[in-house]
Amino acid sequence: MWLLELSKVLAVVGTLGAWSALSERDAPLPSADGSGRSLKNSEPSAAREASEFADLPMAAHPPRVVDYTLRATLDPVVHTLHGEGSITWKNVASQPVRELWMHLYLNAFKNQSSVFMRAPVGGFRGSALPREWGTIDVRKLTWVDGAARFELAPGIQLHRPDDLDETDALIPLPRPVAAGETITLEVEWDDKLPSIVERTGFDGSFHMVAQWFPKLAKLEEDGTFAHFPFHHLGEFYADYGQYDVTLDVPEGYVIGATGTATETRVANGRRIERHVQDDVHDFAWTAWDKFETRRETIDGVACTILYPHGYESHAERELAAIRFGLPHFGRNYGKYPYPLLTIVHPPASAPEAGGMEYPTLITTGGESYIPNGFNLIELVTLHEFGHQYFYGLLASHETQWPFLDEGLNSYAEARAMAEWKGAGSLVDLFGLTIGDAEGNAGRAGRYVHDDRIAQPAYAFGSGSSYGSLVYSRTATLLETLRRVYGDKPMRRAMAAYTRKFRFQHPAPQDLLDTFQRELGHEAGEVLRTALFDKGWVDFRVEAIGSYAQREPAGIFDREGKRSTSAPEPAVPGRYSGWVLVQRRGTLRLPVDIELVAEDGTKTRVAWDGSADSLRVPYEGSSPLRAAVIDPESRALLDQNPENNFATVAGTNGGGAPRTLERATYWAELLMGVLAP
Amino acid sequence: MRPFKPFEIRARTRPAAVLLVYGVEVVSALVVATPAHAWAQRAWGAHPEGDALLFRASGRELVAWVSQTDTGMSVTARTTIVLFFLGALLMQLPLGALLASLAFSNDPPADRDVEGASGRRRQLRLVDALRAGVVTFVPLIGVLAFGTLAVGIVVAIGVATSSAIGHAFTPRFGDARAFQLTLFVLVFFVAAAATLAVAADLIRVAIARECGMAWGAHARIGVWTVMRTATKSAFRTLRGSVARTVFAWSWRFALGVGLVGVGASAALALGGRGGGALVALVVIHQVVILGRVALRASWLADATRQVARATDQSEIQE
Repeated sequence: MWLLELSKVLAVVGTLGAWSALSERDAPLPSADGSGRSLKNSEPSAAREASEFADLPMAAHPPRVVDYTLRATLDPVVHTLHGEGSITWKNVASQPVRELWMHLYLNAFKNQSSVFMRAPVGGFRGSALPREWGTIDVRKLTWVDGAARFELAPGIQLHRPDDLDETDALIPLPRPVAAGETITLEVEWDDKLPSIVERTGFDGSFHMVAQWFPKLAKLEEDGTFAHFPFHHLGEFYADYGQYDVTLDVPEGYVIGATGTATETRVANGRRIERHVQDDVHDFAWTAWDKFETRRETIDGVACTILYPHGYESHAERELAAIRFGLPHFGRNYGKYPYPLLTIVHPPASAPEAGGMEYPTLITTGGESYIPNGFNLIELVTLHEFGHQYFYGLLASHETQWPFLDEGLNSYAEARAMAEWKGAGSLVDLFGLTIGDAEGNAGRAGRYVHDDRIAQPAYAFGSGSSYGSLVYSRTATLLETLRRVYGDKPMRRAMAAYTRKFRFQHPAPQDLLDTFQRELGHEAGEVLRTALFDKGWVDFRVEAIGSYAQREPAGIFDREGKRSTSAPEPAVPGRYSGWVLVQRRGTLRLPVDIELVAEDGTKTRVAWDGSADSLRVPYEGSSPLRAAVIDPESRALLDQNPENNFATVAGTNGGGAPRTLERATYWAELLMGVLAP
Repeated sequence: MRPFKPFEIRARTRPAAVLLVYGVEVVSALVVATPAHAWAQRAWGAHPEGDALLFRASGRELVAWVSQTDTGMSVTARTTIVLFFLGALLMQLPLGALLASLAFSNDPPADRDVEGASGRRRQLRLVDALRAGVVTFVPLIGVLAFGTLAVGIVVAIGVATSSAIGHAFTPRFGDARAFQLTLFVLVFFVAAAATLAVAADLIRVAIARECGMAWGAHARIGVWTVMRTATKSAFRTLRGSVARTVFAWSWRFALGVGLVGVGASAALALGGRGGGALVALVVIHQVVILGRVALRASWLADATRQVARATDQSEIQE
């Protein structure tokens, strides 16, 4: 997650927290359709939404590829877990397979030779060494082939000859599995949970158990397995199926898990819960003896929130986010298909367990002292819930194409926050309002020339580059498309994509094709260039001039006679001028150019942005004073908004009197406090 | 220069000195604000709306401004800090002048000088007040330095202690309640730091008296001697009336916080507008600052009275 980046932004914002400003509370966010309507709490009617996307079909269930029936027994004292069960797997490819690949993610925390530990990328979560290492050891893997039983465990190749990483295991098969054939594997394994470094592990008696079982790699249609070592920046990818998991923990522990608890019993000092969930591609769970619990049915979904003592206000904020998020995401991206949602707020001592998503279970986070007005709690909750769509229902390859889930979800989160909280969706404190989308835009440009957005997670040069490009720049790109090409077309494009590819594994071309179809060729080209070619844009006012109109002077040949005209006095009330604007970069975006006259008159000229520059003429009754490109900040991707305007030489812009006033006032106050 | 009797020490009868402090503070603050203003002017000043952009809802321009990766922010920040430091030092001059104005008069010794007599005394001449400010400059800087250090150490110890206590109780209470406990413990250390700040003001007042007395007697006195004597005098004063002294500081401090609240409300209401609204905000904010300066002068006058009384009593006892 990008919490580290966000915390840096908030640190800067915190210093500006005393920059009291009037938020133009009634001023609408820019909308390219020119309606000027305020977007705060503007919830279209359900009926209109239902008819708006009625023509877009949506799958009710995914193809079922792999089922896990597992039982896990947790020992919270030594933080070990014994697991056993069966895996039913279908070869959905068109050709036989002669091997299986299995993710053993916990081995990423086994030693410093893992790909995860030795990846030289800082600037993202999970950069610390675990106090206690973690492992997953497969004790038994048996292929039950009719009457035959093949013991596969002895043949497991945990690592490659030249690499000690043990997260990507190869399992040779004694015979090929035919196309369409289903096999059953019996499995038994032991986990040693690490102290939480990234997402999974323990902290005291708190256990967040994720990526904890031997998980078969996803089989692609061409018969190849999408297997990969667990990289520091990478996440997950798997087939859909059913998870039927029985959890055995000490009696005093509260469990939160994927899927509905179909059986619950307490026996011999143990609490045993069976959770079942269809149509998902992962299963995670948590157990802690200090959880508080709240339940609420929201939009027909049974929501449970687990949180530490003293976090009641945070629990309420997170539930409020879900109360908004469930119907909002449902209207825009299709109804949430599962009967339950579990929200887990981990203890403050285990922040790395937070900010994560699993099917029907999300983890949030945030310190107890985060005040209302810093909307980090709500933002994280909506972001992680949004992953139920972008990762859960659209199960893209998170390691190969991280932008498809993180970037699209960041955009969806920012839209949700804007519609819920308005202009101050990120910060709304003491009159300072900062939007989530604007926060993303502030982080979007830093690494644009260093890495492509659309590339595997392990290809990024740093965690900071990954976070900036995959999360913020993708979100800003999509927000730019929305503002430039229209809210309604963009909503339809997103609806088309999320509905068409629900319960599938979309790839970037699927997104490009959908957007090209819904928004047009130009928008599709902008999307492609920005994602794959480090596309960037910087609009700039290069020059501006203004002069009084005069009759032309000089030598003229008229009607066979030559005459010389002396310079005439300026024509009263008639002025001409020009503005030279430039578009630098590789993205072609249409923008408005606003010409401002000295009498305050404003004229707008539309530019399609196709050429590298444009010379805009001006004529009016008042001299031209200034020009502003993109006055409504639609092109959020603009690399540098500070060069989007210029004033005619000899005239003044608006200056910076407010900054002077504020800075002087705060300097006086600080002097009075620190140097009395 | 002749010391006032305690009953004659009133800040409201020293408007010129108060305005001097305010004036120097405004000028210093303007200088401190210059780098930020220059940076904003350079970035946004050419826009027809100017830096009103930075106050727009959703903060697009504000975030873009502070997120930019060139050296503007770091240079501005460092320059501002240096200027602030210099301004803080410079403020000791008008502070010394104010303290001298509160404590001394230019009147020659009079035969009738009875407690309760309503004879009017002449204010210290501005030139003499400024000279007094020069004389007390170094010792006041010493108090500023040591006082800030002492307050910082107390607060740092408070943060460490309260954090440790909170951490120790986290397994039992949970981290949210433990954080509340942390804040509760920290309050006591902040109160201790505030008391130190009060003591520092008493020392400042005593320094002004010592230097003024020495000057009046045409005697020379070393900086360390002044500070040592003033510190003794200050703590003697504090010993005699801790509660009264702290209360005298506290209610003025509370009023000052209230004034800041008024300023914040005005900013919220008038905020990013220009023209008349901006002028009104300037006026309101400067009234807030002037009010705070006046409250501080009032407190320093009270402190001067207390130090004078304690000194007089001490001399009588001796």
